[in-house]
Amino acid sequence: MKTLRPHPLLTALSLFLVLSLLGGFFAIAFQSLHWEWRWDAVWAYREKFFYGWCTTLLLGSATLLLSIPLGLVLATGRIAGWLPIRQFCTLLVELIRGTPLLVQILVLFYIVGSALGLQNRLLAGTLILALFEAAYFSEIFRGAWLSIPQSLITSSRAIGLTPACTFRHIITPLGLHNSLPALAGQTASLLKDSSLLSVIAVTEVTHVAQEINAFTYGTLESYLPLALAYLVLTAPLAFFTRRWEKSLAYAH
Amino acid sequence: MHIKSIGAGKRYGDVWAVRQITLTLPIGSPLLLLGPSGGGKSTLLRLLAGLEIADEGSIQVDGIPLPPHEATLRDYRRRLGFVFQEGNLFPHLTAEENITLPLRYAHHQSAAEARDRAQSLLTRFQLLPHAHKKPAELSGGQRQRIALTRALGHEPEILFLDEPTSALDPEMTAEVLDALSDVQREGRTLILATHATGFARRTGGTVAFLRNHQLEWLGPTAEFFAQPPTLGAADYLARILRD
Repeated sequence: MKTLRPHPLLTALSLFLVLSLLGGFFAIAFQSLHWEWRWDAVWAYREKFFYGWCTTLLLGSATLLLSIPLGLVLATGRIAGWLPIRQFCTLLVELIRGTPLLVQILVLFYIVGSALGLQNRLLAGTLILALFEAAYFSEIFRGAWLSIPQSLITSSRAIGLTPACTFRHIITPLGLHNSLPALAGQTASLLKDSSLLSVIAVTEVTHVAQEINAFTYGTLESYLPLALAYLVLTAPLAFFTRRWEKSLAYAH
Repeated sequence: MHIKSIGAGKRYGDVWAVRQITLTLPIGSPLLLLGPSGGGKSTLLRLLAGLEIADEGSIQVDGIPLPPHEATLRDYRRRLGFVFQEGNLFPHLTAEENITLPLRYAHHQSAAEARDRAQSLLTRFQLLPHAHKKPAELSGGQRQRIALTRALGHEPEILFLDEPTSALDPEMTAEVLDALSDVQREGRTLILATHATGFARRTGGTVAFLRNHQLEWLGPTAEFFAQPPTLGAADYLARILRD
């Protein structure tokens, strides 16, 4: 689908208008609060904050790397598996998607984790989050898989490709194309979901912001930088996915 | 390769799509599957080409029944070519990549070999300028010609075509049928399900007339068109020749 590209000047003007409207709205809201900004108190904790941000980045990357293959396994299990496997995968996915992450973190860490002797909070947190995100990824993969027209699968059988070849050369590229926006969205969610790991005292960036708030009473000065810290991660994600999406486009 | 259908049939749920088909595929001359839509032409074509497994009777290749194993059927299909009504081409690959894909991954040719083969075929069908276009950038007629080109890539012994022009307008139909005539002239066996009676008549060979899921008549094409052999055939011809 081709959309008409407006004149660059018009684009800039429109963006300026949108930004000033949004900015103006928030400026007025903050003005009416009469908040006394005290940035010097939180500035002292900048290194700790940066350390937390790095932990979030590490945690998020590890979760992503684990949850994508796990999501693929779950999706494959639901589509092509033997009946008990199919039931197991379906049940697991629905259970994870149907209950709050907060409850899962607490139950899996304090009950399952303790039973297994897993005490490393960062590692446990990563595993729990990876399982949670895998359930969502699996539904994205399943949808992408089911969106591929049967005629293409038949065509692939007719030319003599093996199921593995069909998966590699037909299903994967077409499915990736169809699911890229959803995958990018889920990756952004994953980064934000990692903030809930603060409840088991993983020192990721949200946990650090909570601590800084407790030490300084600078609520806004702690949480506004926190929002920015996530935005720094999610905004490039959206930008690069859009570019990747364009490079994969095949319909004109 | 000698292919025979011996009392073969295919059922979807409780409904038989075709029943008790007994015929021998001609060698070097075309077989035309004619008959009203829903009469079983497509299913018979898929049975003969090893894309479906028979629920009764069998398909015999050189005297041996096709086993119901996907791997064996795949090896059989690799010796054949197939063109469908539509949805043949992979939308994310260029025309050339669509042709090289089976050569590389089903016929184990090197990238260079496959490319040379694709380019010589594209040249033959005057499609070379479109080699690097994706299906969405091509017309329906061009897409079907690319599909035909792809089906010929590995020099199949038999080419199966399932209503390859039914989704096309008259001009594009002519374009595809011309390419098909060209393929037929080189002596390859064509098994063609079609409603293009003009082409069928010119092509000669044998007609298998399917109606109500059964093979109603089998005989020379010229005879079929000179004097409709059954009431069903007369009815069918009257209907499609009216417009």
